[in-house]
Amino acid sequence: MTHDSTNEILLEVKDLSVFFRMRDGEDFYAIRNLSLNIARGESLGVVGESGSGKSLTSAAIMGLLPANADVSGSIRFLGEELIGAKESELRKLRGKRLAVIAQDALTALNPVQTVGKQIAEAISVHDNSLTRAELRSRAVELLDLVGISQPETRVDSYPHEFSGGMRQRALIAMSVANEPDLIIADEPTTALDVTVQAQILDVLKRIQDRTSSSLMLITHDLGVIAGFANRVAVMYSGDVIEEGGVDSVFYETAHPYTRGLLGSLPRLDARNRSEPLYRIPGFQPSLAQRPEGCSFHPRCSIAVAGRCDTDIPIVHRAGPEHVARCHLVEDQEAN
Amino acid sequence: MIEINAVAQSPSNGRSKFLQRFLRHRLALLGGLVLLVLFIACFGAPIFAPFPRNKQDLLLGPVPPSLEHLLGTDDLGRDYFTEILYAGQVSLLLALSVALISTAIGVLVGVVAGYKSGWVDNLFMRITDLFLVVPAIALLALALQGLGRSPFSIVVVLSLLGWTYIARVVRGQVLSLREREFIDAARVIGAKDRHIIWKHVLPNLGGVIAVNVALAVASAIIVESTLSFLGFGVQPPETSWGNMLSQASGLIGTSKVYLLYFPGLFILIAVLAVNFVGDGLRDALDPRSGSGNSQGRKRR
Repeated sequence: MTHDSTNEILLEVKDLSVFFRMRDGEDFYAIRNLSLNIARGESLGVVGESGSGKSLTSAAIMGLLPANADVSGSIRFLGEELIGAKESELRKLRGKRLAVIAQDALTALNPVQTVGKQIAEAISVHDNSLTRAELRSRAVELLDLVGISQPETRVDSYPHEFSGGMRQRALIAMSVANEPDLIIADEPTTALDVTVQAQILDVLKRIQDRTSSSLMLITHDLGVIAGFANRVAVMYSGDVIEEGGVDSVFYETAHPYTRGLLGSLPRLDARNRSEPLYRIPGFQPSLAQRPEGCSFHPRCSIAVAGRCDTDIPIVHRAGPEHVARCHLVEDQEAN
Repeated sequence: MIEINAVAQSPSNGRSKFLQRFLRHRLALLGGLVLLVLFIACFGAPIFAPFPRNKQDLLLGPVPPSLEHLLGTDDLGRDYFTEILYAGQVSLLLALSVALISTAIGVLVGVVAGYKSGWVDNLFMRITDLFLVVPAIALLALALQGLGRSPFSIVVVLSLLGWTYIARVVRGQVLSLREREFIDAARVIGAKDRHIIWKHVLPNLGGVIAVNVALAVASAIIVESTLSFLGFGVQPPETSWGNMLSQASGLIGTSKVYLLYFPGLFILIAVLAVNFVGDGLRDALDPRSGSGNSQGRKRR
């Protein structure tokens, strides 16, 4: 599936910042001036190291940030502003138009309730006109849709009777129960082994095709993004540092961090296999002590003194529908 | 192999599974039966008791257990078995109501405090602390002096004092449940707090609550005995196991000491039975235990 011809913007995040007030006074920005868009029917992959703010971004979109977080900026979903919206309004969106597939399938299901009831709950929370029998048959359909065999009996199972992959499928069934416009999948495959990962991604793809939902796929697996997403946003230290179509980001990489990430992947066609894998030197900075200027500059091999370490870079165009937040991209364009 | 097992065992619906798991618990089943028998015997006392209530036989006086008087007679020649059955009505009813009411209050306070956290939590827990630091027996005595010593006022006072323990336990549980992902997941599908509490928090507290009700029944019987013993409990001519015990307390070292043993024995049996039932309920309320998970056990 390529871009929808209409290209209607479903979700528009603009200058989103999340600021944490800590008791010990070490306040910090966990997300700083983040912007991204998702069009209808599109899959956006979000990659980044742990702690780069990926999951926090999804929590901000859902309006479920911790109490000590201050949000600023704008998140527009279907033309409605979500930041500052009433809790009751947000609740109507959650699960109905805006769904999340939880990160950890092992803990995201209530252990004392049958899987079927939990799937039915996702529907009945928004529509209490359905009878118990109708809800049950919907749950069976959904389990079937996500590829669970014998859904009629499985619907009465408890989560502990499911394998990890089945639980993840059940969670997907819950999240797509109301055919949402946007599904945020927060590392839906990290807790699973590789074969099951592939199956789960396959299920996601099939459902997305069927319901024409948009998908925001949060992961740190670049391979998953390459095979799955239309566009990719690379996050570093609470900001999107490069964003664009998957092909142009992967093949015409603009930002040195993305280049480093791609370079550190193990390759089957490597010439010298005994050579250690490339790694980006240094560590991601603590969010409380971000370096001045570009937060990547201390690790960057091509950083320019007097510029990268003083000025926060603005977004530069690296190609059609391809942007990067790097001073040097501008220089390349100037050539 | 495991997979085949799991499929073959077609999962039936939740309620019958719950029953299955409870019935597998032998001791709980026994406890339940004993309790049932106790209830039927005590509340059916007008039918089952060998003698009418309070029928005195002054010429007979106290006799030790015999075939005619199973548990002997007291000083006034009343059949002790009959008296114990009637006294059981008060003791059982009182203990059960205290257990249920105090648990209900405690669970309410605990859930609200744990779920809301922040200042609500602080307020509720400080009130709980306040109740905990007051010397209970003294307060009970004082309150019963004021309210009168009817079984009803004993229930009220014991319930009002007995909820603190379960409130703290439940709050702790809720604090940890609240951070579990399935609560977030419920919020993510757009569920309201009330819904989350009823459907996700409370069902996960089932085991804790069941055990607490059992413990509370036991402790209510014992506290009532203590109160009766101190003279603040159920007042004659109303009888309870506790006040029979206290009336017989002077008989230690005499030949009539059996009058002390029997009410004590009934208290012991009732308390044990309730505890076993509580144990069984806790296991039955946890779908991960017992049947339907034989594979889980094997794997371990």
